[in-house]
Amino acid sequence: MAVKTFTTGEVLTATDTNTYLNNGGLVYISATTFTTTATANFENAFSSTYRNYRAIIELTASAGAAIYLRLLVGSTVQTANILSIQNGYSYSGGVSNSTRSDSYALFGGGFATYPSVYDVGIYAPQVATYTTLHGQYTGGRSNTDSDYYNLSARNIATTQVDGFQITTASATTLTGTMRLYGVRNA
Amino acid sequence: MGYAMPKITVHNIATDEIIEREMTRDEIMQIKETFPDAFEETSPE
Repeated sequence: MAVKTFTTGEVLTATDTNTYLNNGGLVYISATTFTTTATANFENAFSSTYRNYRAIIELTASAGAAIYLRLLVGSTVQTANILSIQNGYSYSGGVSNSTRSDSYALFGGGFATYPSVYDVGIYAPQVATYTTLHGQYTGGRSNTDSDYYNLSARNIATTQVDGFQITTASATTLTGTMRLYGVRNA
Repeated sequence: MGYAMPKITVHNIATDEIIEREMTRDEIMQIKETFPDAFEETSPE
């Protein structure tokens, strides 16, 4: 709906209030806090209520290993029909790199000794079409060394996915919070 | 000495149920299929 402009002295009706409460662009769905875990699954996260989603994952600590985001159907990890690219830059190392994987959706991190953030869009996971993801990661190895990654992935199958997972693949400590939002269709 | 099993946190967002448990061997092997070096650093002999 178009934005309504209220004027001085106008009565804010229940209808107006409910309309604006329901018409935010991003609608909070859930938050998960995890502490010193090797893997965190966010299952039954996607439904037909929203077509697109946004996940913000804030890591306050990890054991300093690569971190991966993978798609789930139930509790089953999807490792086939995935095409993903990560392109990144390490500040102190002065290194940019690009890596392709066919088995996980998004690479991230490297290290999260310092607070690190993933901001990921998940598009059409509950539609019988390809699921697309893209996002960004920024994290710190120290106060003089940061990592930046652009992340992009496609699930080139019409399988509807309903969740996702982050895993360290080697470390046993991931601590942080994932917050999930649905993007209103209209 | 046995292996320390890594922990998994599972949040069923639809029901808002959160559980923490040790990962099963099947779950670990599934990760190791994708990442062959997984858990080597933290699984003492």
